[in-house]
Amino acid sequence: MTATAGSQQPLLDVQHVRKYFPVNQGVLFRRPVGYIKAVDDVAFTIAPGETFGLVGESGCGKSTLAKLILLLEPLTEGEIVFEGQPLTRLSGESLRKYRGTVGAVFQDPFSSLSPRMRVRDIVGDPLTVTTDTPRRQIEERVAEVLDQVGLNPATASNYPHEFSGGQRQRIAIARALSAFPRLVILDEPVSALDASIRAQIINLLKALQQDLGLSYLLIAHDLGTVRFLSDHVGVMYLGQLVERSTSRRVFTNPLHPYTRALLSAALPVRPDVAREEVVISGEVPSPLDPPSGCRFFPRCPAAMPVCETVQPLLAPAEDGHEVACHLYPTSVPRGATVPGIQGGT
Amino acid sequence: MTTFPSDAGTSLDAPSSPSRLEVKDLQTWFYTGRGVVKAVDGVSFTLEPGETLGLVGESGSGKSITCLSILRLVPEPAGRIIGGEIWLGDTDLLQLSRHEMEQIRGRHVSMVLQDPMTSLNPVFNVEKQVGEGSMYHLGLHGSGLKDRVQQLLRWVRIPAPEVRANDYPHQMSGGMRQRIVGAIALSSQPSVLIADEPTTSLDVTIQAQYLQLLKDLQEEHRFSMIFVTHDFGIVARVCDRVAVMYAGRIVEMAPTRELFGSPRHPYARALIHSLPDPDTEVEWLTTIPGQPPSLYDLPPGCPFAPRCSEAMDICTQEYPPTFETGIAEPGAAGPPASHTAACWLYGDGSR
Ligand SMILES: Nc1ncnc2c1ncn2[C@@H]1O[C@H](COP(=O)(O)OP(=O)(O)OP(=O)(O)O)[C@@H](O)[C@H]1O
Ligand SMILES: Nc1ncnc2c1ncn2[C@@H]1O[C@H](COP(=O)(O)OP(=O)(O)OP(=O)(O)O)[C@@H](O)[C@H]1O
Ligand code: SF4
Ligand code: SF4
Ligand SMILES: [Mg+2]
Ligand SMILES: [Mg+2]
Repeated sequence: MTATAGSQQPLLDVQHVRKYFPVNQGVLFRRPVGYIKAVDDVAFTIAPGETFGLVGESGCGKSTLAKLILLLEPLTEGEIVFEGQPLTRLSGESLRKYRGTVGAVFQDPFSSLSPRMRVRDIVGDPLTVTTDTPRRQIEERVAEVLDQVGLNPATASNYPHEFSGGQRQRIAIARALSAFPRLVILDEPVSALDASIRAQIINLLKALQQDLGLSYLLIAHDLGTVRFLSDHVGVMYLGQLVERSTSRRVFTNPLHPYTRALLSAALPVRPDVAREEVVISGEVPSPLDPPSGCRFFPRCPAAMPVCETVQPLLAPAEDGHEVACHLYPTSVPRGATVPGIQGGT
Repeated sequence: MTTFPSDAGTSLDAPSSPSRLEVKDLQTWFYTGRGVVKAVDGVSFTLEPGETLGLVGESGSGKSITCLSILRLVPEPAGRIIGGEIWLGDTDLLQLSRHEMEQIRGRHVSMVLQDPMTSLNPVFNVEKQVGEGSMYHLGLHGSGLKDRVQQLLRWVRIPAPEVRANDYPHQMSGGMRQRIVGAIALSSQPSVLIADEPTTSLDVTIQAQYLQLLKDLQEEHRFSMIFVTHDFGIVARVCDRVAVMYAGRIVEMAPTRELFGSPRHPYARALIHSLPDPDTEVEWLTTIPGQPPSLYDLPPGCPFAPRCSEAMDICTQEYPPTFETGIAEPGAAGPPASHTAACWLYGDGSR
């Protein structure tokens, strides 16, 4: 049971999801010699009107998770349930409806915008494809969202290559919002924006959430953005969630050694503030061959012998604040013994 | 004939040696169906060997186009460099033939493009693309080349590089692609490295290691860097000086600490003011009121005037030239630093 969703039915329920990519070798007979375990048993829920923030090391599986929710990659294992409906059972009209209900901003604003479409058609596309809105109304809506993201509606007839990086990112945001979605997947939505326009977009996302009850899955390396927008935060490491709680708890009282290192490495937003940082040492581990036991073991400053062999479970350590680390007795699997700690509590 | 900076076009397998870069009154315009976009309109700066200049400013203000102009990679035919000079050592890059420019690119000046996917070829694997520069410019091949690729991938923290070198770009995460492009830019040991938002997809720990790598390499090889970023924490960490751009021009330029300590231009002040304060929880973030200007039809005068709380009559009539405003806290050693601003507030010569 997660402590996050309360009694309300979650809008999105990600249930023990896995995604493995085969690694092929051989020129003529390409055969899998192993698997990249990009997402390896991840579960969380998002309630209506809530923002779930996802942070973690580059390559830990965040975008893959987003693609699974958007049905852009098939699941290897597990289930994703939207409003009580498993996504694997959607087809035809219900699939079309789902696609209209979920908006997305992809990490790469360049390749995600079709180069041969005008901005007007890119932004209006979700409305055209998933609804039967008349053309005039679509154009009005396009002008409205372009204005909201700080782009001149007069540029709607231009092509994506005529815009700067941050302008393209805002085109992608406008597209994600145009069809009045209920859930928006935001993969690095403001990474290319200056401080003022970034603040404008963040305020817009928050205002839309308050007015229309949107839910967001927010993936970002900018911890300030995550903290400001998220109700709950999950920290990923090498394909797995290692910590999950309310945003405030994760940022003010991080429990997992990886989360602590991550927060301490953030550069101060204001350059005049000096700060001590802990750089995580050691090789970046590979999802091809994750360490057995705790995946953070090879780099963890607090590692104990048990960590090398026994994989810690994600479990609530302090009321509702979940962590997967042997420093907390709740993470010790049933039956396993750790000196001084009895497993299975 | 033009000679290449410093090493006079002789041995192509030696790393290129540091040279000074000077951009003078650069103008790069786009000719579109809707009119002329003055994306870069009179940009000047110098970059000494071993120095790092931060380029910050509003989204759409011309940072990427300035960088692309230095490499003469402005998208043609719509985009054209219509004026200015770009000196690398004693060579004006704008006077070089296409062929000569190709020798400069990648070898003497290399760039990390803002969009990693445009610089990666989807049909070649990582090993081939990362190795290319070392092969052409450093003359490496065989096992030497393989080792070099492994070293570069390890530098940018790609896990299991011996396996991942066989991957294609689409098999990499966003941040891994960005680091691959970084590795390619570093591979030929350039004398000027232009990095256009090279860390936007990196988590803070890998970012810290990457910035440290750049600093270490810079110390060793004395290359200079232009670093485009929206992250002022990065600017404070790696940049010696900062130039702030707005609507196609540099509106303020100063040593890093000086700029953050006492910004002069009202846009720069407002930008720094919109950085969120991490220690206070607020309901709404601060933004600069008003809309960014449209570069299609800039009004006469200062382009920030419609949003500027200090605008005067002259501001809407005449574009402000660049004034020296004087250093607030003179530094201890080194040559006298300068702090310039393109704003009429500093035009009376009293400051
Ligand atoms: N199509 C694919 N084929 C093979 N491997 C893949 C594929 N897509 C992703 N991967 C691998 O899966 C892992 C997770 O990638 P993902 O893009 O989800 O990371 P991420 O957390 O989004 O990282 P970043 O912060 O750098 O964007 C990486 O090792 C990546 O190389
Ligand atoms: N091919 C083009 N045709 C017309 N206008 C263009 C073209 N390419 C760029 N522009 C315009 O030139 C201006 C400068 O673009 P540039 O990419 O240099 O901005 P930037 O400062 O790098 O912004 P960002 O921080 O968003 O990346 C922008 O306003 C953009 O709309
Ligand atoms: S389980 Fe052990 S190795 Fe893993 S994070 Fe906790 S202390 Fe570190
Ligand atoms: S020149 Fe005038 S309008 Fe422009 S920034 Fe200075 S005071 Fe403001
Ligand atoms: Mg990603
Ligand atoms: Mg740019």
